[in-house]
Amino acid sequence: MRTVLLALALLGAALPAPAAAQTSARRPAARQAPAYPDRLQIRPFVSAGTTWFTASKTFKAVLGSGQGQDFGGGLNLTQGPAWIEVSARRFSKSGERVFVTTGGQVFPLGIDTDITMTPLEVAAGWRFRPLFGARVRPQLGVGYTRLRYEESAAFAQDGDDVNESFNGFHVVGGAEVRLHRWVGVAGEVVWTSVADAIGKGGASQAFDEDNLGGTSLRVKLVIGR
Amino acid sequence: MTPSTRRRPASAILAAGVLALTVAVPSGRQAGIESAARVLLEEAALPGIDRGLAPDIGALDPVDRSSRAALVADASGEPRAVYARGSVIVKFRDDTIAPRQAALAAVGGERLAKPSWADFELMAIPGSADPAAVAAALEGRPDVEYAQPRYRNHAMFTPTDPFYSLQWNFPAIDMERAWDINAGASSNVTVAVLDSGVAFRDSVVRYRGTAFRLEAGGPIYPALGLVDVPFAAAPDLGPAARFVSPRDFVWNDDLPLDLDGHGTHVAGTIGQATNNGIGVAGMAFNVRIMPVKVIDEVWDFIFDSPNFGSDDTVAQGIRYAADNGAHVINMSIGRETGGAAPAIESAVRYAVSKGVFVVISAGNDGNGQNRANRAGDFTGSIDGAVSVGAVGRTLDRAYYSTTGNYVELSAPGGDQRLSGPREGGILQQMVDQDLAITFSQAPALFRAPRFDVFQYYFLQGTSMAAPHVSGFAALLRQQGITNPAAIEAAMKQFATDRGTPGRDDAHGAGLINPRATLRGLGLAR
Repeated sequence: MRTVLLALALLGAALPAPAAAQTSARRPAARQAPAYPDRLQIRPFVSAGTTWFTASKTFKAVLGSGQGQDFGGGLNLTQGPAWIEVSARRFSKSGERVFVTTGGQVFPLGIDTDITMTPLEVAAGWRFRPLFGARVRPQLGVGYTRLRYEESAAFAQDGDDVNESFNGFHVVGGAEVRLHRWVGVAGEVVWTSVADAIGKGGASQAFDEDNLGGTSLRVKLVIGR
Repeated sequence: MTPSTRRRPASAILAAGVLALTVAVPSGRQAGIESAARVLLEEAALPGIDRGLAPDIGALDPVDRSSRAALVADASGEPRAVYARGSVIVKFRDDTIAPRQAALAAVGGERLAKPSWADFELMAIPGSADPAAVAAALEGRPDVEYAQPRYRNHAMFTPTDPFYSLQWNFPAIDMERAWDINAGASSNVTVAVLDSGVAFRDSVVRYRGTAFRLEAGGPIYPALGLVDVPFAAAPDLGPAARFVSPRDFVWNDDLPLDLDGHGTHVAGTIGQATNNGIGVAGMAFNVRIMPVKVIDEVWDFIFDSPNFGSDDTVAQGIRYAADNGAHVINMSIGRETGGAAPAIESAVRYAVSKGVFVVISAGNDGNGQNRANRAGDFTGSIDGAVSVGAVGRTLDRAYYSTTGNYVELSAPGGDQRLSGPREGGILQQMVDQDLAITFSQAPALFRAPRFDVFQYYFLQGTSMAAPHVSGFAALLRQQGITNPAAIEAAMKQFATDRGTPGRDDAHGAGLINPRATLRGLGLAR
């Protein structure tokens, strides 16, 4: 929730922009600066976000919550309005193994279990016409997700723990707010699908949930123009 | 080994007199409400003697239990009677007097009495009346919820040949790894053992031994008169502090002493002291044991116990256990004869409603007529109660294990026919059969028993399978699954499929898998 509020606050920071935009609109078109730099820009960033997992019942049963926080970073390459991004994030949380009845009642068994998910994402997209005097840059993109999933628990024997990778895709939309010539903050909504990754065992099978994706709200601190 | 049938001319007159005494015994038992005829002489006695592995258990079960049951119950000479004469179990729909008076008048009943720990009443009827017919007549009355004869229940283990072996049964269900996860539960969990009693304390009890026959036409065993019988706690079963709320519904007191060995053997599989450097292991070796005696054996008969293991006695025991803190009830008892057991079923439903998981052996008639255990064939309709079949060392159904749609799970019960008497049985400690089962000798050698010397015996039967499941249930409860229905669901979900793929009548959902069940589910695996 704090992440959502932060995103809203950042968007709010752009509110004074309309006056500047009007001023800019009155300028002759020939003198108007290009919306985005034509030269290739390489922009590193760090990110923090909250994900509401699609397999919410499963995550809630084992980890006590159907959502979780992740942290990551990557590189954003832009040229004009187009962009390509490579990023990695990491979600890690501890819970306990459970028994789930057919009616969905969950009994925690007191056996520690650790879940770690590391999505590697490659995405491409488009930045739309800036708003509020070029301070707010809306964008949209789609990408490929390679998700590494690790699950380990106490009393595990060979073959009990999980360390596998799965393929998926994601759609991202949001806006970047320029705080400084070289610094921007982006707020994004990311919907990820990693289907058929779970659901063949464990609590996910009990709840008939097979997708390790979810919907994330993410804030990125971007260095670069 | 059957007692000798040789007759001695010189004792003919004496035998006739003793026979008269014998005939007088059953009529007193049928009322089922007399006070106990035994006296506790000493609160303490010498500690039990552990004689190690039994060298020979050939005389382990010399008396066919069904014929013995018939002798106890029979007042009219019918050798196959499976229920008591002189009374029936009846439950009325309300508490008013009028329907009771009308029912008594309609069937020639003499009086009604409500036992403790029961929601039913016992109606005394003439000894000549057929209890089944009276019960049927009562059931036809609109003010009667149910009525049934007082069917007799007995221990479910199959008689065996006596040899030694190892405890293969725990590795067979992966218990070593299960104990890594849950080391024998804790004293927060109580398992009630409804059986022939448990060797749970030291004491000396004075009994009066009556003359008796073990089978119709068999030799008459002389009356022992007053005898002081020593009892001791089984040395490998643990300290006295682990036994809670003992109750004896056969003798109507708080001394559920085991005059047979069956209940002690069963209790051992549930919770035998483990890692103590002696003896054998048990499934849930830290739990508390609640000894509740609900079936009688030969010595109870000889000593003229006021009650016997009828359905009402069993039902009382179930309700008592549920009301006194039991979390799991083990019933390695039952009967293959007679009709349904609504009194027991009602009590089991009551126990489950109180959060108690109930385990009942499936029966040992699989090599005979395959008759269901009527004291447990209803568990399929109760989430939180299970009937348990037995597997041998090969993990396939044991030859004696009764099959049927009511069998829900299976567990090691031994198969000595397939794997041999040493390798095929379930090993636990029980009272030394040579010193306890003295009626296996000829009448001339018959003597008072002692129950303070113990040995380790291999037994087989669904009686031995059920306590594996009860101990398992205790572990699951300790692990966090407290709901009886959920315990049953977890056991079935993780059971290892045996026999025909999927559920089958021999193994139910399969062989219990404690390690997998205790470990439960992760997110993906």
